[in-house]
Amino acid sequence: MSNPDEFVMSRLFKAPRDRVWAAWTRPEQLARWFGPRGVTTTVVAADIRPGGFFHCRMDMADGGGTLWARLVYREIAAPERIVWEHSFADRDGNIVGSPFSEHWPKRLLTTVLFEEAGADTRVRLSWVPIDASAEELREYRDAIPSFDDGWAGSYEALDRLLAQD
Amino acid sequence: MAMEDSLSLKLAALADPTRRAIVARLARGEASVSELQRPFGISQPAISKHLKVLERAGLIEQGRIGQSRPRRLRVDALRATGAWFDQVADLWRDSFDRLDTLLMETENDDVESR
Repeated sequence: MSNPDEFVMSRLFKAPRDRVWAAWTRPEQLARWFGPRGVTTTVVAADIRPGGFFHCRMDMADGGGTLWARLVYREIAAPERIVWEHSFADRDGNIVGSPFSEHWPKRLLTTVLFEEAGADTRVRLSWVPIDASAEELREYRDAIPSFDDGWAGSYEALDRLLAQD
Repeated sequence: MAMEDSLSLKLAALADPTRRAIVARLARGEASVSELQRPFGISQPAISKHLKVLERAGLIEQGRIGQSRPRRLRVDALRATGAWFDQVADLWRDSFDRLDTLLMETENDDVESR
């Protein structure tokens, strides 16, 4: 498991697996947590089955703009595994580049594993670029080390800093 | 290519706690080298080195007021870096925080409806 292009994030949730699974597969629950801090997520389309299409809009707080995301599911294996292609999108659901970065992979293969850990559930999420250009891959690969928890404090501080002006 | 390099430079510059502290200080307003040197208690050459790194990364710039050359933050550059962070890592960390909250709430709902 040493794919240099793989980003992995693991987190233990204090809830049984069926409940965690529901939070990932029921649109009304997904809308309540999916997306970066401060956004309000509205699910526009949610066909949550293999080959199905999910489309949502994310409104940033204080008129900060709107992002759209689209997912195309590859596997839904209850209650253990979900695999989808993850992209930024436009309002019509077409894939678009990242609004923040010129060379960001258009599609990221997202694999989410749900493991029972006593009464709790461990969620392991991984991201790997699909069909990325050399430039996109480079930018993505450069980004991976900074995903480490060691950075968390730093970008929290950076967030606070950015919120000041 | 140029863009990736500039992002790498910014991230490398921000990877150092002293330089982040300098950025935080400059976020409150511009400051001269000696003003910056004071709170960090380090030598002038050392602070100049840090400033040079931040400058090369495009995160700060030199102003010019008479003889003095105060440093100031390039907020746009910093914001671009912040947006990039938001995009990649915060997406999942923040989402997972919200998922935590949701799971706690649904658990309570279930207990109540039993």
